[in-house]
Amino acid sequence: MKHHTLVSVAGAVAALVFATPAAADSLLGTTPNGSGGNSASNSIGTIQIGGGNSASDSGGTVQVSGITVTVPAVVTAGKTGTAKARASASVPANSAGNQADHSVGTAQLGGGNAAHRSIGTVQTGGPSAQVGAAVLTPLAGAIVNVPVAIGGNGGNTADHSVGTAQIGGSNSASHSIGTVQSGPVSALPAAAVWAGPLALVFGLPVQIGSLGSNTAENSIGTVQIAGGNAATQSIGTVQSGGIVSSPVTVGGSGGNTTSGSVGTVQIGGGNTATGSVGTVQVGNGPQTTGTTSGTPSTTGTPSTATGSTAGAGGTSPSTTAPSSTSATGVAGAHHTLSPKSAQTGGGKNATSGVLGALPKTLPFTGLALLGFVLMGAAMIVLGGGALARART
Amino acid sequence: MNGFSPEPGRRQSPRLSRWLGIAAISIGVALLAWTAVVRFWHDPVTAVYAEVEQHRLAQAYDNRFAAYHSVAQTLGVAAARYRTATREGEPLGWITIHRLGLHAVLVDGTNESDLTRGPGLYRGDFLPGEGHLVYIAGHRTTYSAPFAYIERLRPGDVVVISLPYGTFEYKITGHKIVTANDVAVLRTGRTEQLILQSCHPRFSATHRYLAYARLVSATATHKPN
Repeated sequence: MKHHTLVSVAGAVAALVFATPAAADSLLGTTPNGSGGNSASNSIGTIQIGGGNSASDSGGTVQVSGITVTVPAVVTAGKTGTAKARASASVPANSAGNQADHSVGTAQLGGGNAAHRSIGTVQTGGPSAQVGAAVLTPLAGAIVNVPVAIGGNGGNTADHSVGTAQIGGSNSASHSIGTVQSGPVSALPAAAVWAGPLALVFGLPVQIGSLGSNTAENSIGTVQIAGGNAATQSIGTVQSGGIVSSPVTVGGSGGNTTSGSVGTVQIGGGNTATGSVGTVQVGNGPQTTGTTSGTPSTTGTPSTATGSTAGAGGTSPSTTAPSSTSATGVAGAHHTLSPKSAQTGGGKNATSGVLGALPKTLPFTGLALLGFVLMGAAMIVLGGGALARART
Repeated sequence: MNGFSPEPGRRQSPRLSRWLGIAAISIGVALLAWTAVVRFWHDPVTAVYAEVEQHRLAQAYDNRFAAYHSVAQTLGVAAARYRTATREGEPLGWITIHRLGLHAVLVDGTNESDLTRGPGLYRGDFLPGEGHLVYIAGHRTTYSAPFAYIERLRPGDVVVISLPYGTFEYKITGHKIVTANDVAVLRTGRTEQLILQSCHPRFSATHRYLAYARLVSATATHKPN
């Protein structure tokens, strides 16, 4: 209750700050969102602002989809005190759609970005650091800082990439290695109030991944945070519901799914695993141990045993004994270890795709008929010989 | 002592030899007839399978198109998302080439199974609208042989590719014949280009015939809400 009161006081102070004309007038310096459309190829250290940018065969590119910047305001209220207000940068979410191909070390802000065969890409929805305010007097003071958010709407995609970090939710990764997918990250209000030697510091949680629905397919070493995530035919995936720092909560409502995967850790409850091997499930959702091991895979064979762990809470799980692995489960595991791309003639498995490797030959689409012609002719000759012998 | 005792192992009966001869000749004639049909048309046996698969793919694509919804603001982003969301063997869209009399469902992937169902898009490259290489391969003699007469394409011929997020029109600019292991042609450039590929010459796998086309128009799909 006391905390709520303090927040209210801090909010009121902030409201007062912004109610002053000087503060309102000071919210200037806005840079309109550009339409972008820049492109960089074979370049190093390029910064593109405005959205719709593309980078190809480049290194160290920063792509931003329009940015809004405001300047801080300082209001002097007589001799006894000073009020400061700050409204900072924001990047509109999903207004751009930057692209990086065959690039290294690209940072893409704004959501809706795409990385293809790239290494070390950071993709986020529109980040924003919104409002900070302080009221200072000789004897007392108050500071309030209101949310910093990174992510907004995600919707970023990465394929055949290595070391991609995606923030914002609804991201997807395919044939990638070492992808971290998260819902929006937000630092909720924090406030400090002091009078003389006494001070109270108040902080609300840092939250990672309130919205999930990220997907990973044929990927290795993926970390998915926010719940509602899905991993298909992947290896070494960690799926978690949202993470809150105060009180420390990992998992929340999970609802993650994995199919045909190996070595998946699911945190948050309500998770399901189908046709997977070595799955660890932690959380307070439905009991998944029995369900998991009995769920048919897409091919109709029973799924493998999943060394499942089910607990009453996201932070204090209890462990149940893992069930055994069936023969069909092993077959499923084999399927998992053979990504669909590896079955193609295109040489498009995760590793080769990431490294830009090409198949040894172009797709084969022909048919050699000469063998059939020779075979037919040989049959006719043999048949003629047999008939001749029959007559004699 | 008399002529009624045969000599086993030395000589077949005339009747058996006659039937074996007739059977061998029949098989030989059938093989030659089949190769003639394939040579001057295409393989009718595998074509039946391909037509059935095309029908299935068309139905699947109709459902996919009806459910498709994109909030992407650029064709490039929509294309990238669509590419990552599509799995191998699934229908991508339609490809139409009037010069070849082709109107077929485009399949995601170019492995052996994919190409038995229709022309396939090489998964290592890009989709139309992404500003890079779009590489499509198709059979030349079997499975309806979508690219049977790829060498008849002439500069200026139109290739239309319809996808859920847009329709793309390309015009043929030329062709090139490369060896089967010249995989450098799969590497994308910095501009959008379409390559149609089939084996060359027909009935051989030593070379590949590549028909090049450039993008001339791209129209985003606007679906009513």
